[in-house]
Amino acid sequence: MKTRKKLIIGLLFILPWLIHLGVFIGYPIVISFYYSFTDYSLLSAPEWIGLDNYKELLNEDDVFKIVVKNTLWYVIVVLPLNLIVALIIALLLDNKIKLLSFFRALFYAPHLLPIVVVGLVWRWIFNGEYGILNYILSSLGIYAPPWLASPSWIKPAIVLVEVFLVGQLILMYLAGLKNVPEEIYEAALLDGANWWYRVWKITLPMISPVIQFNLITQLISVFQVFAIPYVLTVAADAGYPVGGPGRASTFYVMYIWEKGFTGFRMGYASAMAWIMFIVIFLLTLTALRLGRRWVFHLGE
Amino acid sequence: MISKFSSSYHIVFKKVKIARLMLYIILILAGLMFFFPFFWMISTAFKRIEQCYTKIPVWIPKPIILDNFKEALKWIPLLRQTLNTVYISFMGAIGTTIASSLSAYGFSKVEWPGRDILFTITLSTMMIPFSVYMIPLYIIYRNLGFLGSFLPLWLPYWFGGAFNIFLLTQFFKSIPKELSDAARIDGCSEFDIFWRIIIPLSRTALALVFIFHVVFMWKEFFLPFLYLPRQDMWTLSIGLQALQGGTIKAPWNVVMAAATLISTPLLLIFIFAQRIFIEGIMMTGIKG
Repeated sequence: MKTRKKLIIGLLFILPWLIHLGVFIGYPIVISFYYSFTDYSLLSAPEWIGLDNYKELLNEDDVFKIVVKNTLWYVIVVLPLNLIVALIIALLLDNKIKLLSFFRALFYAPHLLPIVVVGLVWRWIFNGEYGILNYILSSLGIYAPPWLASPSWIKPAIVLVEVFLVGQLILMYLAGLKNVPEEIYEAALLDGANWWYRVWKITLPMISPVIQFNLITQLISVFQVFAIPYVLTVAADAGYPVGGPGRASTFYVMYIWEKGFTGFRMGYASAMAWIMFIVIFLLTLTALRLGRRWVFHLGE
Repeated sequence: MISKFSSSYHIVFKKVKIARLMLYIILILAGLMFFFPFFWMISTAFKRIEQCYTKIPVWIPKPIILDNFKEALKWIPLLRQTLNTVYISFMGAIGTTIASSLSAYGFSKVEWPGRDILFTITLSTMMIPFSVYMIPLYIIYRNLGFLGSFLPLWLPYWFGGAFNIFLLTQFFKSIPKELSDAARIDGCSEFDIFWRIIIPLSRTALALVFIFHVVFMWKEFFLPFLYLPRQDMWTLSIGLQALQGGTIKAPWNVVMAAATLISTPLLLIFIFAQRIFIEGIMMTGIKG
């Protein structure tokens, strides 16, 4: 009896969340799978077309191929870069330095700005003619490319902006680093361990849960990049709805949006979303499986 | 003996000193790179247009003008969009604070079968990419007639959010069991315990959830972009990107002035609530 009463009370407390789970997450996920097998223009009811969306995506849609390449390039470059840069900065900060709070705030601050602000400031910095970056480059005698107008240089520009935003990762690493007990380092020092050994054999394993957490959360968010490339390249007179010069910076979610919301092909867009979901799901699973081997939990 | 010690001591001391110097140099260089865009945004915001579009950059504007800020008001209906942004931010923050704390209480302070499984499911929803369910969600809102209003941007949060539930559950779990047990013996209902004991003890965590949501919504671009087609409903972020994405582009000094204006509330919150912010994020790092 007691248990039953507690069950009801517990469920009552989480009732809002249960509704959220069902209505705002669960049902949409299931129904989007259904939509992916339909042609749905919103003007009329969804029409079942079986695997046609998937066939078209994989065989006929040339833009899709470019979009997939762009997104894969982006993930392979930005994911490790963000994780490593943030880790290095966190390791540097974890040294009892003066003005720690100042530096920490400085590295985190960009993450706090509205993302459109970040995009626009960098859009100005990257400006081909009057941008400050090209001025610095040319006065150093280095080639100053028309960053945002060039299909070859737009991607590196986007990468640079994303690195600017690693502040949150840095803080996460710092939290993990703070939790490493001093005694371990002291013992290692007494044993004559040098800095490299300390970092590789002690620090990294001790913060491996944080590394894994960051890896997974970043994986999920990096695949869905949208705002920065959009703001860097948006132009009313461009020949494409979203995504930079010649589709060079059209990424996956941008293309989903384009097909679904400007092209009125919700079914097609849903199929795209599910392909991405499966890829992310498999990668996350892999990260978790691998984690069981190299993630070290204190107290195990 | 003494001189032998002191010479090797000096060598080690010097090595450490050089290493530390290099550490500071790298940090300062990296810091400058992170700081520069802020500096450049503000510098451009106070410039006359000729000093903006020149081949040789003007680092510090002379004279410093305020006109760009007034100009920005002509390009962006600042008041309207600020109200819109404030509205959805605060409405969502209030909702998520209430709903997430209720849910967190259910996940932490009440023992019921299936609780931990459901909690794990809750956590795993954070790993589902939004793109997977964004289309049906849009269609649901459309069918409910929500698309002409702000509802899609704040209503869902009145049913809780996975991250906030996670944060608050961990926090509530750290409140000693004895407090709730004693109250139960005294005949308090679970809701009483929630309202009179747990909530007052959780002020910091609740403030954190609230502020985080306000900041999150203020910064956000994609969600308003998705759900707000009508120009008079635009948030500040959408209005801002229209300065370069619209048919007529605003000059860069005006754009930077607008950007500075829009960022200021967030930076102010950060300066005053810095502690809460950094502690909050680091708390998730530890629990994560």
